[in-house]
Amino acid sequence: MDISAFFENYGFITNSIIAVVLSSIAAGITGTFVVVKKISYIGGGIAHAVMGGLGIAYFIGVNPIYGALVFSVFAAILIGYVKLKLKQNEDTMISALWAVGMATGIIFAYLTPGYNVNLLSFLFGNVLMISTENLWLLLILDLIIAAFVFVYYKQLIFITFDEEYAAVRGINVNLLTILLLIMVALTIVILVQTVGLILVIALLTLPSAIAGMFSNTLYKMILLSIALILLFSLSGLALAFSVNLPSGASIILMAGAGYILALAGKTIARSY
Amino acid sequence: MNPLIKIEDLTFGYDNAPILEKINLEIFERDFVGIIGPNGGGKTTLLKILLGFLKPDSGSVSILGRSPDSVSKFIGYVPQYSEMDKQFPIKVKDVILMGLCESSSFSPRFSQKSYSKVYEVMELLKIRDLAEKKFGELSGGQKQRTLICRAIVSNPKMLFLDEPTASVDAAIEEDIYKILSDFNSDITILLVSHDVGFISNYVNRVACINRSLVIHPVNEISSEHALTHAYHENTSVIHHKCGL
Repeated sequence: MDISAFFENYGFITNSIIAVVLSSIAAGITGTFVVVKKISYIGGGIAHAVMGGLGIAYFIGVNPIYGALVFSVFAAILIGYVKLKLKQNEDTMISALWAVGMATGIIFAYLTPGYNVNLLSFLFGNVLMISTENLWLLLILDLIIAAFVFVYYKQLIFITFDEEYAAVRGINVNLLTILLLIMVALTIVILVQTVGLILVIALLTLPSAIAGMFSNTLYKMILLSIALILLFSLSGLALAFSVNLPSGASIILMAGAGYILALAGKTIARSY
Repeated sequence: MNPLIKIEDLTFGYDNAPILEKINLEIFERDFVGIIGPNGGGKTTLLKILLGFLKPDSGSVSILGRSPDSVSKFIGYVPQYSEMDKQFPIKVKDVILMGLCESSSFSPRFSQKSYSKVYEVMELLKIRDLAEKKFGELSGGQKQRTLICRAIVSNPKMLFLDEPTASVDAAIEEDIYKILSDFNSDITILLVSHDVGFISNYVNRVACINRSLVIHPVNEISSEHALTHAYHENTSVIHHKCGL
């Protein structure tokens, strides 16, 4: 079989591997901040709010990923505003966005003529079906996230470690916090493609939590997170291919197994 | 002499529950003021107003003749380390480097000059050998020294400390006060504490705060009671005199 025939038949494998690499980079960077800032509940809220955007996009017939983008960024800004400006506990707002987003998505999907089964792939992800257009979008979002963290690395560590002192040093804590939440939102849009919105939060927390056990600086934690997510994603993908299982769920099971192993290893190491 | 910090008729409360009432306080260059009072008496609230985190309901606060949030870069602040995340992956030297972080510095690395400044203050506080350690793994006294380093690394004009000796033992407490009194030759110090303890050996004035505020020159405390007395007796004396 020559190369072109291979790509014709198995191009989806190449595409899904590229998608996995791109999503690992975003998830490793963002997951590290989600874990150290302890905002996984915000991540869960944004991920489920995205469903509203997907449903509406289907209904009006545009690429669902754009609906996801609009809704995730909107949810991030709203949560940030409630947290920072109104000084209210953001829990209620997150829960509301979580549920209302899901409900909106389900209603619009129902109203869309000829109920589209693709919606299910956004719930649980289907990296094998990713389009080239979406791959380009993933690359752009990745570049935005990496550039943001590179430029504001010091300030981001600072506001995560000690928000109050950052404010004393004249750092714009509110703006950076909102931008950080938008970064979480963009990463979720990327990960919805690979593991689906229900499983997003596992990929944003488990690998970075493992990385945190073995890191004494934030950039090491980021690099280790990316490596771990790559490992879990590729092994999950291999599992999905070989025994024909859903790809997103396989990836998450790998991450879960890795987390339990790391936790057990750490506990055993400590007791000797 | 113009005061560095001038608080006039300051009143503050949450949802109509007054926390601070008609506070007046002037702090001058090279003062070492201890703010003491019971928990919930408004000490930390006053500190947060001075740092610009909270706005007074009425009255005025000026630092160096300006509003607190516009002069925060002249202030070194030592928060309570017990509120910090032990798991956070950060080295001691990186915590101190934060004291030099600017809002408009867009490189992930700090300059060589910043590092030498950090090592310099670490020498001063005798924690140079801890530079590469993880902050969360330090003892209470070591964390406190790290945070003092972070506060002074930017050469501030004044230093605010929130309960710097809470949960450290007496020897370390005395040690920290000695270090602070050395700094006091250049820096104005404002220290919040819930007990008098060793404070009276080092401060020149004590402000007792429990909704309202009363200032005592330090000799007023020491003349009443020998400094060797247990702090409980000291606090009771001050409470009595303030009528709080």
